[in-house]
Amino acid sequence: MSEIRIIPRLEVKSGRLIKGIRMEGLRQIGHPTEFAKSYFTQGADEIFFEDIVASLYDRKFQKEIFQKFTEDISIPLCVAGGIRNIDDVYELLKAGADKIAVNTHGIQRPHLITEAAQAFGSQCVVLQVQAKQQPGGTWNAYTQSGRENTGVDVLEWVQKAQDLGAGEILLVSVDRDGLHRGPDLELIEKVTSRVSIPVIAGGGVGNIDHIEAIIRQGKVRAVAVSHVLHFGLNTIQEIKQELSSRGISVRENTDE
Amino acid sequence: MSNRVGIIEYGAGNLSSVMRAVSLAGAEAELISCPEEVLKVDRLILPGVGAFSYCMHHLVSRGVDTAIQELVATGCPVMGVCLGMQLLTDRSSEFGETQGLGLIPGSVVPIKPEPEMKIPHIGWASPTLAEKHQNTPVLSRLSQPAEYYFAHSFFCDVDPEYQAATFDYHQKTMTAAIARDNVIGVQFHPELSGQLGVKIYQEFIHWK
Repeated sequence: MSEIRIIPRLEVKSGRLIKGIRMEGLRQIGHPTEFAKSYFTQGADEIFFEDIVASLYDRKFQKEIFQKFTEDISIPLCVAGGIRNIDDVYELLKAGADKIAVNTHGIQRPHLITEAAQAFGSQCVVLQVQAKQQPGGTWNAYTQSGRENTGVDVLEWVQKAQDLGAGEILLVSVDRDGLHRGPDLELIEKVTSRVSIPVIAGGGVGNIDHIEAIIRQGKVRAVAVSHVLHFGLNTIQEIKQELSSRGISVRENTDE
Repeated sequence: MSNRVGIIEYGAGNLSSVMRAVSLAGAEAELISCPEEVLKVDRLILPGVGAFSYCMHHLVSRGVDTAIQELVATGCPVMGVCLGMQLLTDRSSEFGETQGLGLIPGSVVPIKPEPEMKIPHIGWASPTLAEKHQNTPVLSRLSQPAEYYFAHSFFCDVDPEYQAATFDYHQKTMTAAIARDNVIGVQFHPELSGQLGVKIYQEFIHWK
């Protein structure tokens, strides 16, 4: 069995690490490169970067910023933000990304997922889902940092993306993101039981209990964490030690 | 003494993490895409990107496949990583049957789904070194329990003699590493496995 993956999620705007509440009201936290290096040495199993306004301002991910992140970091790096075609994917891979994640342009043109998977393999293509619950209780997929309701049903979309060739799903609840009051377990469980590809779940994690709940009730093997790490509530070592003492197997840190 | 490390380029995909790991391991690697260059290196890495048929076609159409086979015959160390390891075998059933390099007897088959099993297998797992491979160069490192990063939907079904290490995923035991004389392969990505992964490249660079 693979170990649980703890994946710091870094949202970047104009070269600064930021964190919002429900993806809005952004606060600057610091320099993303320093945070990334620190998470790497703390034992992060992977790192997720997102240029959160790339699609909004209709421009590509700032490759120069990302290139600086990748030096010295020898764990998988996933990048998101404004990726619209396989040339964009190739650029990011050359800059040191190991996987890319699509949201906005995947919804606008689903075949993008197939093109990327055929060119670089499914393991390279992550579907990023910003899910927001609707009055009827279902969830819709959003773009533009949770601003734009695409009208697409999340459960149907994840299944379709899997069929199109996505190798993994990064699922974040817009309703919970940045509030650190707990994840949307119902959403996570529904998504993970709908697809046969791995799901990375996040949004709303405020403590280790929340992470444990995502793993046990959400039935996922990878958790995206931002607030808890960025604001120093827990280090990755602390999270892993505590999970391990609760009987959840984690990768031991070997990069100190 | 020269120590030229070549990395096979297939024309697509991500080689920067492999280049970075080799450089962290203390050597400079060169990207190689034609047969003449293959025969000039002191050791060769087949990285893992894309699909089996696509990469094999790329190698065959340029005559790089026979150059690799010639290089192996000279005793030069060769290491395949992920898809690069799978290319070392006889054949794969990914996107129709495709012939491999035939350097290690075996074939590449899909991971069979089971309830609650997620495919591709993406994540960290700890390989177990086979008893008879305790002294196999580079791979002997795997005798120390440690996790490495895997990302794959297919695995190598090889003769036990060449199965150097295994790992478990959902109670299923699969090949983590293969070896035959001067040719080795790992299913995981050492270049994405932190410091321990860099050490695999270090040992490969200093093998022979």
